[in-house]
Amino acid sequence: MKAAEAGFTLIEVLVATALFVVVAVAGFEVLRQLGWNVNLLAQRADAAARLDVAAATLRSDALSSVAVWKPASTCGDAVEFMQRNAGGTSFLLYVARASTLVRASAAGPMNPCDPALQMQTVVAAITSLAVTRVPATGLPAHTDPVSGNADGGLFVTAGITGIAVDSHATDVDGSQITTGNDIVEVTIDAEPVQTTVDLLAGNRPSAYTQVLAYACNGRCEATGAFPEIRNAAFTDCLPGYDFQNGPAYYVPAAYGYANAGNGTQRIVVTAYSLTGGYTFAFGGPLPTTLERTWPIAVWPPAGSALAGTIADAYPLDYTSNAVRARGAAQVAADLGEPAAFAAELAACADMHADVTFDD
Amino acid sequence: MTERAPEAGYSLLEVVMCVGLLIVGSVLALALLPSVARASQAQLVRGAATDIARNAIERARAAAAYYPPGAVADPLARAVTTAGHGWALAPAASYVAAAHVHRAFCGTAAATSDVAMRVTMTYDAPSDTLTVAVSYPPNPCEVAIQSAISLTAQLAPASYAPQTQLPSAIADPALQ
Repeated sequence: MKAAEAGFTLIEVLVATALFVVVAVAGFEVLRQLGWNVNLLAQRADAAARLDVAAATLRSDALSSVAVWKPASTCGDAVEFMQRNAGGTSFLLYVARASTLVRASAAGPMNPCDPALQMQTVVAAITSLAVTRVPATGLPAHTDPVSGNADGGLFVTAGITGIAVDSHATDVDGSQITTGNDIVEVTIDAEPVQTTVDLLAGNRPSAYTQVLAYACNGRCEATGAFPEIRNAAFTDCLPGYDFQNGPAYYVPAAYGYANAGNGTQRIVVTAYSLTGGYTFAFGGPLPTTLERTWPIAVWPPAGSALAGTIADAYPLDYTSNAVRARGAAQVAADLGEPAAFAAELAACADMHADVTFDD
Repeated sequence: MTERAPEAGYSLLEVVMCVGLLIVGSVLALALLPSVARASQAQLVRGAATDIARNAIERARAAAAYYPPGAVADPLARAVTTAGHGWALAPAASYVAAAHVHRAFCGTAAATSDVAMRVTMTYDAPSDTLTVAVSYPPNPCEVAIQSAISLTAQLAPASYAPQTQLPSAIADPALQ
């Protein structure tokens, strides 16, 4: 029998050491993997959180914008926003700089490659930023950016109206900034997380010409300062008349009337939704034999010295704005309709002078 | 029976058994780690599914932003047309989207995979609501197990395109 104090034999020690080495190596490998995973998880969680914030910021900026577009750039994709609010017109730009997603703001449109931009970091350590413009009419053919599957099956193609109108501002490269219902698709890859955000300008242009058969005999609304501010309630004498879109306020930029000879006055109002800035147009009476034709025109006229210079603050100051400053007569002159417009105003004045006129 | 002296230490068998128990315990504990790591991806995949749903709603908002002028020229038809968004949105559609999941811990540490997610969109005309449901695998390594998120949006009224002319036929009381 071996004495208790004899210790281990060399073989025993070698076996024990070998076992220990095997276990130690395995344990080290597991710990190394665990450390790598923990590090990756932390990196992933951090990137996911930052991308969440970036996505929320992008959507928020889009919601308060009148235009979202992909500006021309020689230093990588970028997405730009134009906002009009009580503080005036301002611009926001997202671009990748040195593997960092940055956000810049300025009072005018920005060159994505301008090194002097005032920038703040949105997401550090991104791999790429890709921006794609998707026209509204192209949405039925749009594909999911990752799977490549068509995702526009919900849309009735014939019902989609794509709108891209001049926002009365020019980009740094001289191109007109358009607004409407195009989608701008932004994909940010911040390894190991990637996100795609579809952006739509929250404030879209909307303006339409409403032609009314104005049946309140002896009444003419065309007496206020130009443009006259109306809402849906001003049609109190016209059951059934509605301005659509409920309580929103509009700026009738032009109005007039024509006497149909049977007690019916035809009032023409061109109304503008005040969301998304505004585009002034002129509407005229229906081109019947009783009425002259006053074709729709856009003010300021395209190509005129005024084009692109209208930048009223949003929301519009009803008491002080570009149209008021220009004046009714001058606006009519800008449109080449001074005599016709003056004649309509004179006709309304005559009606108001009539003691039987119920105004 | 011979009593072991107090200073005799542990036998090799005792040491091996202890080491064995330690290894078994460690392995069992470490075996849970991958599942914990994968579980942490659930939030990430759920976030991706939510983004997919929000993007689908945003595209629907863009597609239904403007009334088609031709459909609103008739005042009577216009009232019906503008009551909802059925002119732009079909009752239902579905497709398969996907999200990049980089290094998904599915046994290949550096693997990048795309996780497929079925998207089902339904438009309910009477309530004028759009519902987008996205099925996603909380564990990207076990795609057979699916969860779902659902977002419902009430679409705002569409706008009239700039310079759309809307004739309004209002009867002349004098002629009635």
